[in-house]
Amino acid sequence: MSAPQTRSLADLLWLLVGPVVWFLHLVVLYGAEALICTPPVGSGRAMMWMGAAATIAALGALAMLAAVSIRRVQDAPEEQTDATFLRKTTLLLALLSAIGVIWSALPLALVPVCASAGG
Amino acid sequence: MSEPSQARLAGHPNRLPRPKGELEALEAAWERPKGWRIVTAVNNTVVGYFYVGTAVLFFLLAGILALLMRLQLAVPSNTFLSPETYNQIFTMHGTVMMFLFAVPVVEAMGILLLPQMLGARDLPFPRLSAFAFWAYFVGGLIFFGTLFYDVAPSGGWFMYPPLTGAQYSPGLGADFWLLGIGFIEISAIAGAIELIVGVLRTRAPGMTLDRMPMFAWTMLIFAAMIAFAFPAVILATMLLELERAFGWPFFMPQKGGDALLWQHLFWFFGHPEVYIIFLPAAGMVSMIVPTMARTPLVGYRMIVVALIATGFFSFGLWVHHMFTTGIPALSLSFFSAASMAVAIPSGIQVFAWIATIAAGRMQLATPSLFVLGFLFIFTLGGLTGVMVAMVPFDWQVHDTYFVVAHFHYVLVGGMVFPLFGAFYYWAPAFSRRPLSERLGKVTFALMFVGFNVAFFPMHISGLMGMPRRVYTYPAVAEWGVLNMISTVGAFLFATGVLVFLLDLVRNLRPALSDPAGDVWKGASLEWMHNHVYGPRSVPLVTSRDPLWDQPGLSEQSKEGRHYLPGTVTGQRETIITSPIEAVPEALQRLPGDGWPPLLGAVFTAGFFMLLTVKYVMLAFVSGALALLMILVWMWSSDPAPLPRAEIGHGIKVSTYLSGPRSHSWWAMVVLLVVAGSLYLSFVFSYLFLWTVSPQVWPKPGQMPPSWWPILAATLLAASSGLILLAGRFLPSRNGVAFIGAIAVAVLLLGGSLGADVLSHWRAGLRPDADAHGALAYMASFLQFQLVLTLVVMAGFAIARSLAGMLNLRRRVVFDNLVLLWHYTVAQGLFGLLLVHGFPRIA
Repeated sequence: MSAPQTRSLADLLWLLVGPVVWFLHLVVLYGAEALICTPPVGSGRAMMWMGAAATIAALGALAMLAAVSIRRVQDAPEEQTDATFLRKTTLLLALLSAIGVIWSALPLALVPVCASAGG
Repeated sequence: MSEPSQARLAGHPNRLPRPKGELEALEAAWERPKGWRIVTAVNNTVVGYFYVGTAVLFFLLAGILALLMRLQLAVPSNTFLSPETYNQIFTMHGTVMMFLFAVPVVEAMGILLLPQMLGARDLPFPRLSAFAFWAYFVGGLIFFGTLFYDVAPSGGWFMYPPLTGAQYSPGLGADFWLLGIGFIEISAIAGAIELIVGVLRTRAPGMTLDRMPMFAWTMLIFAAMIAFAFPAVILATMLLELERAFGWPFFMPQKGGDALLWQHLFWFFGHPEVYIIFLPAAGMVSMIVPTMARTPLVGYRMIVVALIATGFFSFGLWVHHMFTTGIPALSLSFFSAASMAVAIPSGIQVFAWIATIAAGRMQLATPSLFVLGFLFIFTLGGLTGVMVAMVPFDWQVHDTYFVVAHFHYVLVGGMVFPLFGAFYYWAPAFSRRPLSERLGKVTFALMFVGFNVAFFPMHISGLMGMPRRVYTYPAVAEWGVLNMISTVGAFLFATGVLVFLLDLVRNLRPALSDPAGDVWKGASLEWMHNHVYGPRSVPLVTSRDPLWDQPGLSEQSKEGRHYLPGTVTGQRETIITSPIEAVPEALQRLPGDGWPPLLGAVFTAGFFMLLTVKYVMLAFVSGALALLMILVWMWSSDPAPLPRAEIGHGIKVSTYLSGPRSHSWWAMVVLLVVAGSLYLSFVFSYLFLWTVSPQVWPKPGQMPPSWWPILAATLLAASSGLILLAGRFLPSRNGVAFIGAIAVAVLLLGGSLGADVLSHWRAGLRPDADAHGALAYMASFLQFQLVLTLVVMAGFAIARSLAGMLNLRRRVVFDNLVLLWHYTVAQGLFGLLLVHGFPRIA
């Protein structure tokens, strides 16, 4: 009896896509703040636009990931419990990452953009 | 094909009588060395005992330091300890607790528990575990010994420059910290590689990812986090040591450096570190709670989601340790938000445990008490955590005893209490006698009451303004009373630990066979009839709680009615399974006992420690001996392929895997992740210092002529090409071409590095002149480390091919060389682009 076909590690790495999007979003916000808020740019408007674009891109990517996961859960044969396990977990992680992305972006709306710590 | 089809289940268990001598052969293969030679044991169960024991020893030592501090602080204006001694003691307390106790003990628990829990005979790289343990043991003891010679570090466990720079910490103390801890981190990474590959590739057949015990999930995420977080602090220690020893000004503002760079790198490691030690403890809780409540864990998938999310979110929090450093308000808010977001996954876990407790009937044994104590203390620590995540509140309590109270509630509550619960829970799986319930309850009561008496008042003294890291204080307000209460609590806590030690002396009898066993009626495989080689036969797992849902499994396994009931090759072996579905793929032969891992670790420790005390020649002799030992060990790895082996139930698997299916290839990939993470930390440092001091970056006209980097890049690319070519010559019939290609590739690689360094030197750049110079040479230094490794590995591959031990089939040595080679070339090309390209566009 030969070993049945096994799935590759790539299936496991799908789990990490959502959190990676969250992390990249945070890095972009933090990096943009360091570059845009200091002279010679020093523009709060540019930072707002940059932050909004990064947030929309991140949420879009997470929505796509969620859509793909939902489709793949529906397509999977019923007996493949661990396949649906991975996809449902991916979906939940995408959702949690989206909350994290919105949460990280909130300061743009709440805190004076490009102000110093004391201000 | 995750569900075992009826065809695969058929024949389980195998009812045929077992052949004579099968069990005897298995036991002979796994016989442990006798007497004092036990130190040569290469087996995760034996090494696991040593590892846990040593970590507990460091817990006691660092605990004694805490008691000395509490004695000093018991009354105002006390003179029990001198200021310098106090500084050394608080530095060592934090450093030893974090680096020599907290991380090693959870790694040790993983090494001890995982083989049994996964149904493996052993994890895939037992010599690596032995090496990691001995490196930690020797390095840790030497590091702790510095206290007795008055050369212990005294700059705090976080070692902030400029206090720890050459100017303000001129002695050896800071060097011991930098080289000692840097070295112990390397041992932690070695352990992490073992754990990642072990969890993914040595699970019992049928133990799919969604049936994996929660502790294994947490160890997987724990080890992955180590691979990403520890390189940041390793880089930081390298930078600070280079600054102290050679004046490369990474942290000196007058030359374009910035002390804040240290804080960024340190906390990029330091914050995930908190979760690195919390997640495995949470995993232990997730194993204890269902057993004690006699019901499956509620919300398995949600907990996995929470663990992964916590693992990631914890990397986005590091700046919250730097709220008072003058970072812009918006940046602080991003990290403040992330700090609050991490409460969501932590909350998911807490609610899942509460739901499990509510769903079952909790048996109030000692492990349950520790779990309840953990829930209480950790939740309080979590609440004060949300408080200090608010920037304005943090400004008020920063560097006061409020923070000391907060992180002890999180760390002791989140990690020490679950760990003690775990000691009581798992002792019967490894000892002939379980620990005493009566003494256990006394231990818990003393520790729980003592902890709260010691640390709760610190919230108040902190809010009243008492700063941390002071060796004494004046008799103002109620500071004296509060501190006296804290001291009494600390000694109460210590009494609890003493009772625990008494219990260990009276009842712990470590056993390599026939332990007390399943006294709690647990669900996971470590409660089967286990031995030093794990189960007699490796069961087919069809459930998340196999011992509850597969009746008779333990007896069947003991009678040899499942996979691999004996030894196929007469050696130690374990089954390699696929990472997701756990389908058997190969039979791995494991090494036997031997000296090389132990001696290799001793000489590696010797290298670092002799370098610290500036015996440079002796250090290099020790380093060469370490390398020799590692080569001896590597020579006997990668044994020749044998015919396919039957592991039972008619399943025949390969005895040799190469390429992406090989566990060895996976270990190399994890190592590349570590190297890449270290390099990314370097790239961050480069860009960070540029944003701070763009004035020290050269103008395009001051850069080396651009044909230098083009030459270096061409040499790099050509070396990669030659390695690809060498792969085509691999059939043994063309050995000369193979060796020639590798040798020329090595020359090209070295030439590229030389060209890069020479270009900087000829352009007048010096590493000690300013931050830009230091970073440019640092890029070459990091590249040099990899090139040196490749030179050794290339020589090794050539030697193997001359010895006829490397060919088209038996090729793991070459595959690993190729992986590291292409990574090195990619890193080198990126480095050239950064160091030569960035100043031209910036």
